[in-house]
Amino acid sequence: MLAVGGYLLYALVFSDSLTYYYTVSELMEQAEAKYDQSVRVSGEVVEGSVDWNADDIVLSFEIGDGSGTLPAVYRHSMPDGFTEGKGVLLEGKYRSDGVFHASKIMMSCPSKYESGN
Amino acid sequence: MVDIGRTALLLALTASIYSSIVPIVAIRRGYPRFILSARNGLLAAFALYTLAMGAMLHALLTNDFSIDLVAQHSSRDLPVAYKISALYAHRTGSLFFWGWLISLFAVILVWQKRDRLRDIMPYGIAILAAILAFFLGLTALVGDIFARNPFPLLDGQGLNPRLQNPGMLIHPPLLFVAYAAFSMVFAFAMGSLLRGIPGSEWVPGIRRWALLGWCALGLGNVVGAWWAYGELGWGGYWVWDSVENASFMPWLLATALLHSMALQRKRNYLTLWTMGLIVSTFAFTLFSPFVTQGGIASELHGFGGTPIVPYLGIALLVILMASPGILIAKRAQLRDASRPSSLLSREGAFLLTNIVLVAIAGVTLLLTATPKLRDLLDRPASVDRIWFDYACGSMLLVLVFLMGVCPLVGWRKSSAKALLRQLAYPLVPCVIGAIAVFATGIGNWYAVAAIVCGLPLMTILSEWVRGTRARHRTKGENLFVAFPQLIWSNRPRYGGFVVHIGIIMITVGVLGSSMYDAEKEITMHPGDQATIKEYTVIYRGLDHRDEMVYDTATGRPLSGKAITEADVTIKRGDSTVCNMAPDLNRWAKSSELVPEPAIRSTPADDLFSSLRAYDLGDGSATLHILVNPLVMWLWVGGGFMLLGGIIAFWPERRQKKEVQSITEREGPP
Repeated sequence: MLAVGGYLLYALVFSDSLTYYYTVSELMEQAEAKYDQSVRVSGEVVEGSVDWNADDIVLSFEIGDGSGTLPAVYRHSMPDGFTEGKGVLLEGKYRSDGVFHASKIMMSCPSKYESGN
Repeated sequence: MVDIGRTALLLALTASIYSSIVPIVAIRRGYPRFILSARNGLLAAFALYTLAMGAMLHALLTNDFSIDLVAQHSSRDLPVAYKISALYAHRTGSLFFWGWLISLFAVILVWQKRDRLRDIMPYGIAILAAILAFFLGLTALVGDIFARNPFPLLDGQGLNPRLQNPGMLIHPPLLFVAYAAFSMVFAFAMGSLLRGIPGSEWVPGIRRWALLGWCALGLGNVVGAWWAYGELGWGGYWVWDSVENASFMPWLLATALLHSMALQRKRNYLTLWTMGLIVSTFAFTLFSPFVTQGGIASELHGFGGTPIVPYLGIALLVILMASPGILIAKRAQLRDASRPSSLLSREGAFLLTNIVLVAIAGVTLLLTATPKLRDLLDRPASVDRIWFDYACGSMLLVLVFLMGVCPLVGWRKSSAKALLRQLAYPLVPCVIGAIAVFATGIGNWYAVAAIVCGLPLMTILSEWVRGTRARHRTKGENLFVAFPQLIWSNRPRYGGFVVHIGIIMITVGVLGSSMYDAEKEITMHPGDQATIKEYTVIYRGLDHRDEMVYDTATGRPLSGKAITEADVTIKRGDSTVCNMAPDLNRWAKSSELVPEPAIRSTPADDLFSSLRAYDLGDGSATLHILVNPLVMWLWVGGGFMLLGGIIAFWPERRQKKEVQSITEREGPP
């Protein structure tokens, strides 16, 4: 039991088997090395960049962190609370086409007990 | 009113500080009379706290927007029930409410033990008063609950639309009832321990408080999942979010606690372990606000925390440092009177159950804290939910299986052969069922579920059949009388079985909905059709109703919402299954669109539809449709958990010696 617990602790704290997360500029810096790897990237949804194609269910937008912007696509409808200027965390893969293909979008959302303001 | 409330709160703080010091002085200096004075201090603190609570409720109900809490979370158009719930939508407000429950429960506990107050309660009163003083300090001084709002306001910002749901009226209070009840367990146990009373004497005295806490917490978690499922619009009910885990971990520990207390009561075994669980359950109730208030700010809850967080951290540290010391110092009182002669016994099975429960809580804690640990190491990374699903899910299945084995093992010592023989009867039909399921090709996971869930179900049912028939034979009771009589004859035991059936139902619901759900996200134009599993989805069009109230001068929306509803018909073959109308609403007081999913529930599956986007121009709608098998069993299982909890909680009548002797022979759960 202790051995299993110890291994789990080691794996979680030190190993690389978890999903790393980066800021937009960190990811852009090491872009090629990170192609097609499952990563998370955080940034703000750039004002005016959001485009929703309802017929094909494609949400495209850009996220930025002040020093760079990253184009992203998400093949689902807009998640709740997704608005321009809001901090988001994308999970997915950065492809060689220079676009981040997000499989999951998480808001830097308020806890469920606090209203969003 | 506000000034009265604030003054009352400060006086309550003074009274509780007084009550937390006086008993200790009274004992050290030998003035036992002063213990009653400390008790009176606790009663006064409750009365003053209630006065402050009254002032706050008055402010909420009369829309006093000069108070920050009311301005932030309430508004004129809010229904009365939600105006009250605005109290615990606020961060300090939730602690305020929780603290008030602690003061209420403390008064009840002191009244319960009124005859032996001087013998057993002096330290208990001191601990209760100290906990209360901590909460009062947080709400009165650190995060001033009556804080003023400097600007005159005509209306408040309103309650988050997602919290305007019946589930959110009951989910938070249930958690706070549970947490307050666990403080009673902690204070009484710790107080008795410090007073030099052996564990065998005080454990039975707090069983019902622990049960109340456990039951409220379990139900609170189920209601929370139900709210997330019905309100949040993504079709799930659990994501291993740190906030969810924060209330799941104390539930696991409390479950272990109930079982170890049963063993302690019945066999005088595991006393030290029981005490350890009492301490850790209590510590986790403080860890919970530490998480929700942003203490382990993961990327999702990156608020940087409220000013309350450091104090919660310090309180946690104090408890975690002081308690082991006290436990070691008082270990003589926690010595077990007996040990089982073999681990292949019901004692051993209970112990294993306990270990698995604690292990699940430990792994959940580790996984929840990992992002924070990685942050500290400057190697940020996140933990995917698959880790939780595999690590915790597999251990939870082991636990459900153990529920089936446990009643088959005898007390003290059992032989492997006897156990296997006993196991064969319920296991054979399960295996046959599993093979049948496997052969029909419905799915392999259902086959696993049939064995894991079937075994405990068979064991419990065969136990009930045997007991009922025995009563029928020996007492000549009609079968319909014999069964309820059987349940009533040993309520802790049979209440526990009813809870187990609830857990089995929840397991079935979780397995069904997570293994075999089907989902589709599609943009449809009026008249379009789509298929999902055996269902045909027909989209008929949009219905838009503006129910907002506008300011006549500026044209700005003041209150209410604009509803956009998709008209959907679901068919199976040629017959209509149902019509569904999922909404996507714009609220006057919220910047974002809030979906209101539509759900059709049956025991076999749920149809879940959510309107994700729409275009009023061409009438098209983007719909998210899911078929979730067996979800209803989660809520039914929650109901069984409550029912079993009530049965086990029901007071035992002391004069019934005859019944007592029968149950004595059959043993507790």
